[in-house]
Amino acid sequence: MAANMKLILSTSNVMSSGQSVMRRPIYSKSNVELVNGLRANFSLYQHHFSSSNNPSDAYKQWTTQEDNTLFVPVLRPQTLSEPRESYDITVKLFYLPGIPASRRCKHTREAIDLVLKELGVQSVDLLIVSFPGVSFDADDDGEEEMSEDESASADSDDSQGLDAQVKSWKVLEDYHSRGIISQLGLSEFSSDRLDKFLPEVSVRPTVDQINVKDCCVVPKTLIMYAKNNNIELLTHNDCMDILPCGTTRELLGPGDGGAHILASNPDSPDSEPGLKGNIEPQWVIKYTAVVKDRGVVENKGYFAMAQLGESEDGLPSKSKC
Amino acid sequence: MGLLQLGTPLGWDKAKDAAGQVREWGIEQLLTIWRKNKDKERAMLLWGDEIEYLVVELDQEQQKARLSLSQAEVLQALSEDKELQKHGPIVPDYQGGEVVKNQATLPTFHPEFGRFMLEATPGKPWSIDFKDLLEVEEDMKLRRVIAKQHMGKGQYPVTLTTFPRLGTKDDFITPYYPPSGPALRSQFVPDEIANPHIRFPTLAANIRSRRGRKVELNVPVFHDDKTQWPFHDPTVNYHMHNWPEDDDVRNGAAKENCVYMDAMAFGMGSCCLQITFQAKNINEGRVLYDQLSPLGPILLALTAATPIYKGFLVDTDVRWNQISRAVDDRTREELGEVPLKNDRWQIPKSRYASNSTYIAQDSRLRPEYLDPNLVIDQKLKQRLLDGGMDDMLATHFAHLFIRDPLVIFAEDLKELDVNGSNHFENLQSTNWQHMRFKPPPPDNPNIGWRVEFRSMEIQMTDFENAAFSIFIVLLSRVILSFDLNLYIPIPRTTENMEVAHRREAVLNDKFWFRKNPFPRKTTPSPSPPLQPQHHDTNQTSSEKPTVNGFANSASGAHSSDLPPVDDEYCLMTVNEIINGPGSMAGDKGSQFPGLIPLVRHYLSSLNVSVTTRCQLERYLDLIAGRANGSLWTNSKWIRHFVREHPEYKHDSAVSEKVTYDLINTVVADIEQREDWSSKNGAGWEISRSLDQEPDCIAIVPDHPQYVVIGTYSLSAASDTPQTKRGSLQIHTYSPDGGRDVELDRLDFDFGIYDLQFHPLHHEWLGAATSHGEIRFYVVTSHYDEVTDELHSLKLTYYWHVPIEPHSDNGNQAIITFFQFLETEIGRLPSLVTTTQFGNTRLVKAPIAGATPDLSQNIVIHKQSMELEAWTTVAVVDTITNQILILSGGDDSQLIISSIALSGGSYTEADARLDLTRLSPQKLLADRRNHSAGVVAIFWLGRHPSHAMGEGTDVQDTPAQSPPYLFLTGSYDEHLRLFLLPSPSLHDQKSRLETIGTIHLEGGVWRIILLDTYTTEVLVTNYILLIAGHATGAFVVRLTCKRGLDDDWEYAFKVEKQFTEHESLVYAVVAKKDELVHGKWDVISTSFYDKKICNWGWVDEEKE
Repeated sequence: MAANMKLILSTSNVMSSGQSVMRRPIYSKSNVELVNGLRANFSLYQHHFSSSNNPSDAYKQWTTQEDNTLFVPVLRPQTLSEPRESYDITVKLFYLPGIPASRRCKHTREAIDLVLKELGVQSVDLLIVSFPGVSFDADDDGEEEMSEDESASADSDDSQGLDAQVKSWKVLEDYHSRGIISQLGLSEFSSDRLDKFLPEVSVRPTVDQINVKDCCVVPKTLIMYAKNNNIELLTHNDCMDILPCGTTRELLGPGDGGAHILASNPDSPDSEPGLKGNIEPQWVIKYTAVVKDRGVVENKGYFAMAQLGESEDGLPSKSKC
Repeated sequence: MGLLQLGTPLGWDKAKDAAGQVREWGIEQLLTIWRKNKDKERAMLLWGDEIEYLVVELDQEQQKARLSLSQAEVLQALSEDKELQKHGPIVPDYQGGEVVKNQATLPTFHPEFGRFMLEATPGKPWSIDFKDLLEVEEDMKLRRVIAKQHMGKGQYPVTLTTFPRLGTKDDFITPYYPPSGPALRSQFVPDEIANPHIRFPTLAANIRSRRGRKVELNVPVFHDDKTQWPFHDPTVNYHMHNWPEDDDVRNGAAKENCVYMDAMAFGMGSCCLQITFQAKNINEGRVLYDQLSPLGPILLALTAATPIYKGFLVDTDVRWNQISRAVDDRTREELGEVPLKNDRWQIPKSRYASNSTYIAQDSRLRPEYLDPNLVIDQKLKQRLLDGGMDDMLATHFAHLFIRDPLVIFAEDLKELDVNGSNHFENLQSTNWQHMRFKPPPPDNPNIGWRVEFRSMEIQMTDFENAAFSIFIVLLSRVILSFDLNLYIPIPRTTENMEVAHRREAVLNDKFWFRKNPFPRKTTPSPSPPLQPQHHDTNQTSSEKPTVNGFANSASGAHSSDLPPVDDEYCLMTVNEIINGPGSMAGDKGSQFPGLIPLVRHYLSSLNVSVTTRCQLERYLDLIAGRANGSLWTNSKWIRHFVREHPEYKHDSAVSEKVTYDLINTVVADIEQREDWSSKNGAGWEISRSLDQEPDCIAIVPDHPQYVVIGTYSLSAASDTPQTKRGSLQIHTYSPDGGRDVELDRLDFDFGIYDLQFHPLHHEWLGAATSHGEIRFYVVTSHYDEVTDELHSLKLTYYWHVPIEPHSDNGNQAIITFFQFLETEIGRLPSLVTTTQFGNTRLVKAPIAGATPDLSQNIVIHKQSMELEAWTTVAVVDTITNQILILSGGDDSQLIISSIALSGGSYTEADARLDLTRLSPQKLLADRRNHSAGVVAIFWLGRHPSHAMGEGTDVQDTPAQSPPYLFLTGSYDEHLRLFLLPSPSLHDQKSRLETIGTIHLEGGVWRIILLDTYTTEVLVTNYILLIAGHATGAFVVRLTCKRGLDDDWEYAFKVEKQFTEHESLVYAVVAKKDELVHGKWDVISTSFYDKKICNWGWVDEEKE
């Protein structure tokens, strides 16, 4: 039996599980923190509630379902311990590749709401958005071809074009005007890309986040462009496809270290325990709350939403996981 | 050092009797302070560093360095400087008053124990704001500059831990005073060595009096090849009879094989790097105190800087134990040498030692971690408990208060000021442990609870001092953010402190360290009943937040649930502790991730700007490099300097001249070099990006701060036809230079393959193209009419010379390489060049405007199968009157041809030289020496045995050419050295033999000679810069050394490999740094990633 369901995955505070995210060299771009954070959090809850005799239902002990949304694990907000103004709260919203841009408005709302609730706050200081297919390195190599692709955004995937980016940005501008987000930022934009983007938006980004390798290689053109446009260049080490669908199935599936929520395959036989159907991650949001004056990271974590089965808008899923 | 109090100090006999009173009053003051401040919250992290300097005077005439006893004069000059005063008091101890906050804050200066010492601190505390962190290094540099400006002629602020010849027999101080004064009674140093403020001589005298003899420092001497063994410190005088204490040496105070010292100045005259943090509140302070404690010995080993005492190399690397012994006031009873009779207890450690307590109220602190031999004053502890203090903190202070106060002012004993801190501080500040927990001062409500990290040695440069300061600050944030648990039993830290003293402990020894620093999250208990709950139910309870909704596991855990304490830690190298397990195969049982990876992970959780991150990486790289051995500690560097000094006799003695040269080098380094890292060849490296792929580069001869870069861009192979693009672009040499100058750029529908400026006509720029021709451009400079400053550099097309005709199917040849001949042939510029079709050509280039005369363009020879010819060199040999032309190609062949110049000398011939009349003759075609394409040839010229000035035999046999040396680079990843022997090549078809070779992974695409010079008598050095194709760029040293029997040894050595490129490196160029002697500023470019990287290399061996 295939279910249509939204799964909200959460890591809780990854700062207190440093061990699980520290295993690899951290300089390379990675999603180790997200994936290991989810795995560690699932297994913590799993072990804690492993009393059930019926392993196929065991997950129900530590997840909650509300309508057709399953929270994995159950939400336990860890609200901030000091007054709001003590913190610098940054969130980074990853729109994932292959997901129709038409869903972004709704996704944005879901994601931001979860973070506000988790931290017990009304607003965040900075939201950085990561658009799929936007990679600074890729731009470096084939800028021309890339921009042709973009202008011809009627291409198979509309989610990667400039139009879609601007449209999504309008949604964020609305949060900005309502005071929920103080500043907006972009990720992995080259100066060319910024140059096309800026004239199209009314709330300008104040931040562009780029991945920096050992050599600190930043093209001068971008440094100058950012300076002239009052955009601060920040560093990050997130990878491009932060939550592939295969990883998601592995995390939720019946394998070793899996959460035993999903079946091993989308079309596993009914005899196999676990939910059936395609799983397709839709968005990821990362939040970080830093005590400003002391430089202490008090809370950092991720939420991710994955669609199981068909999504509400009925658009076909590209996922084969 | 705090503010210096004035008053009448008690001699030891009186002070002894007042000790109990001072302790009790100190405890009362502590209780008051604690009560007032135990709930104090300070939201901000504030921190400060302290840098201590020796004042050294360099006497150029006598080639001698002396310690200058000019502390008072320097501080006086600073306090009287009207300009400085505008910013508030710069010497608070002299001028009184608090430093005015929130003004432009200049650093402040303070007196220290030694009269040859200065201390400088930032004018206001630093915050965690990255802008502050990036200012630290600049501020430290400023402190040094200000200090230097207020010193006398020839005096320098030097950040060495100790003066290498403190206490020698000569006049090592200026002004000179003889030793053996009443306060120190030292046979090596005078009383005048100490700050004359009454506190300091009293401190020294009372330590000596309490102890019942002089302090005793015996440091094992470094056993060098010619050190007399057993070693008896030759500077000890056994026949002195000025003071009763002179008997000490006759009673065996000086130990065999040790350097012996006998005064507080030998320890307290050391310079340290100390960092103080303000904690959020008392609890955070207590956590930081505990968690930073195990790091003390590790950072001591990493900062090791003390290999010399009293004119001898010693067998230890750090200062710590010497200070410990220099202030050790324990009696024979307390030391356990005689049974307890008058004293209260035996005391295991000096007042200056690693710390002995943990103080955090932390559920992770297991009783097994505490020091089982801790001595405390039970009565005072009870008083603190009665006053409401918790057991843990009361124990800590009751431990510090086992000591006697050393300097008591009579005025202070009249009445207890319960709101003061003088009695408390009397003991607190004379307990010099490696961590210090500091209560807020009663007179300043703005300051919170603080923790001081005290083990680090001062470093020679401000870059290093900033790096270690910032590293500790970042570590403290990492500890709090990740809630790290670094606890190990205190006695293990004490052991580590000893290990840190060993020579090269940083690389060779292991330290006890906790394996897993992360919080335990396994067995949450008790199980909260989990009701299915609505996800947006607001949390109603006001309980303390818990981890993941569970109660923090450790808080509920009993010791019985925990693994044995001994399983929690193991021995690790400093490298494993700092860089983590990935870097080296270590103890597989260790899960410790490494402090640097933790810091980087922390930084990646913050919003850090690109420039900030790169700056911080410089600091982290220094620490990572120290830990993995790629960068030396100061101690290793100093030891190396001494042992390599020509005057050093390998007998451990560090002479006056060696000391002078050492200090001179250190001072010059700091004045000349921006930072220490450049000294070690790991300079600040930066990159720029281009819009097209760079493959050649040339420095503009008349404006060496600019370069021309040639590019070659080929569209994707799938495109038909493939399109080519290229450009010539002028750029600044350094990424941040010359912004206001307009720099030209020309774009083409062909690629540029090689670029050369003409050696005689500097403005002519030749460019080899993918269109079978060499084009000439002129670089013109335009100056601003008003300011006369360079306004723009323009590239103007001049003319072009066709080199290679089309192939039959219309393809144009790429001109792969060309080289101008140093002499004009027939009054025309001439060149040799190679082409894609395999030809090596000699070309007499017509002058601009003239129709090219293709007859003056001849093929010298051809590679096999018309595979690409890649590179060529032409040399005019005036002795044999021939032109030698060497070329290499994709067929792995190295071909040498000769063109005889008929009749007379070359100089006569050149004017009428007509290429059509020449008949080049192939001398040899070697295909045995290279296993892949030969892509670079560099002509080194005459063999050193026939170099200028030595070549007398040339005249004896005028028909013979001297033996020549040349280098080749190949795709087969080798750089090779060849000898082209005499006699005359003309007759020779002999084999070509490689006489030297080095494997350079990635290949050798271009070779540039940076420098040639002679070291020692007969060693010729060639410094080569190599474009290393697939793996970056190399600096390689080639040495040619004549042996005893006139046989020669040739050796290659990689001096530096620059590995930051991620694509093929085709072009390199370098020029001498204008400021730093021996430094080369290098540019290398890489192809597909279109990067230009600037980096540096310092030639340490050039005189």
